[in-house]
Amino acid sequence: MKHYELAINFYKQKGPRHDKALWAIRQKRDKAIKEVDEWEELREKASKIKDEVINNLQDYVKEFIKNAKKEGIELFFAKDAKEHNEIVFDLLKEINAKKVVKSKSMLTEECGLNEFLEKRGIEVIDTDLGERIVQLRGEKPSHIVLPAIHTTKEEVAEILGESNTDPTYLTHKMRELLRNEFLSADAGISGANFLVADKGWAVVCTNEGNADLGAVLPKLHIISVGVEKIVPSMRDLGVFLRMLARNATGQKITTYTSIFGRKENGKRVIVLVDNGRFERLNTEFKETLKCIRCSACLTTCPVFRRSGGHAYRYVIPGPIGSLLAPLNNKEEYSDLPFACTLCNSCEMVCPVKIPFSKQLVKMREYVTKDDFAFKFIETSLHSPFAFKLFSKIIRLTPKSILKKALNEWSKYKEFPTIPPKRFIDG
Amino acid sequence: MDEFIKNLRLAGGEVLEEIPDGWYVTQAEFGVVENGTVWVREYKKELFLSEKVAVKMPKKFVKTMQEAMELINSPGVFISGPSKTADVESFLVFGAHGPVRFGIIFDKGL
Repeated sequence: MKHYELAINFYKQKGPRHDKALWAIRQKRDKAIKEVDEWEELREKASKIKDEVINNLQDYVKEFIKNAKKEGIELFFAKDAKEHNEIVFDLLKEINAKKVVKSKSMLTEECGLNEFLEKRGIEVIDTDLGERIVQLRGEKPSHIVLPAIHTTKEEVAEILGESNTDPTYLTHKMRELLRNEFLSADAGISGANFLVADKGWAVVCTNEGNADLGAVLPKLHIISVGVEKIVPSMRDLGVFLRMLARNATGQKITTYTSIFGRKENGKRVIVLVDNGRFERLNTEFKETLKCIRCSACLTTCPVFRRSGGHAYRYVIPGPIGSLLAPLNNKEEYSDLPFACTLCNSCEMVCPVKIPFSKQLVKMREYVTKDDFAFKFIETSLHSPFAFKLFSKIIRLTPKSILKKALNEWSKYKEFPTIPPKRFIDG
Repeated sequence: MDEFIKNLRLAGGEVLEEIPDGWYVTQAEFGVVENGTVWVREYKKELFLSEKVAVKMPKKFVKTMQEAMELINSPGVFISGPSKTADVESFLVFGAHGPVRFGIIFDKGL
């Protein structure tokens, strides 16, 4: 099903509540950034730092690998999702791991790591409470920072087999269940928010403490991360740490900002993943590589707030997902750049100034490049003769047939009355 | 210092007068005024496994995270209040996976 169909279903069931919950977060975010007088300067700096990184990505990757190795971290480079999954599986096989605790990592979702490991007999426990809720429900996260924002407390109680729907009770119940998993896991997997090139450190920002338990308890800690997450130095990291949580949830900072070097009681491994990122550098969509996954563009988007994240069907939904998904699979996700009013709200909140509106329009061109109908219309609009002919045909076609032909469009919109004569014909 | 304490409390943290029984205690090096966070260099599992965590700290502060970065020369962790989540219907709950309570104690005589 396409975005608009899934969106209508979602809106009927949960739309207004979902919209309200996300709008409250957007308001908290606005309050948080107003406390920082130099917010716009920070955005400018953050954007420039990311430009610098993606324009010299190869060099920064080399520098990070060199310094992380010096720090005592084992490094792997995976060119695609398959290679990433195989590297992680081999690392787990080496220690005969049966159970892994995983904290939030959009990259492992992108690579389909859970399914890959489970097929090979390794149990993967998602430990972020929101991710655990969706995992138990057999779903995918619907938002990259608030994975279970589409669920109600009643649904959480149901999946846990509880009758008490109090959020504090349910949260502590899940904590109890997951604590046992942490203590019995053979390895921990997490993502990383930033990699500091000149130090070789990985930085993870979380609220729940699950990434830290997964990093500190088992003997093996694997960090799966995309190459674009590198920042040149600690000074640059400071800029992003001031922005990330404020822009995501309106917190001044996440509970934990963990800076990882060598692991004291075991082995730490970083798997750097390309999966099409280097190739994207040579396209008109290279600016999407600046994204720090703060999720502000999802939370603010009037379409996302009403449609929910699942309507996008991709691991990363919302405005940034509408750019990333078609790059991953053009045919499957060609509807996403159109699930957008070009209102520009995403661009206004983006901490690294990704030019969303321009990119989304370019993406519309990209996905329709080979579409016959669009090609036909484009040709007609370029030739006065073809245009006249085309408009005449439209005028002569009975409305009922037109309506049927334009079914997707006319299903939810009133079909306009076509005047019998063209304006320029007087 | 008042601004630091205000922000620490906003994140759910407490200011303790003495070390209570049953709390895991460690040392923090400095605090960050803009968000009430503290820098702890010692990365131990007890920091996350304990129900209650307290950090002793000097009255040493930097204004922002950007300034904080200048002081960091090893891995470690910034902590801002107890662990928390709002994953069940956006309702804020302390004690997600880590500590339910988090407090600071200022070093005496400084």
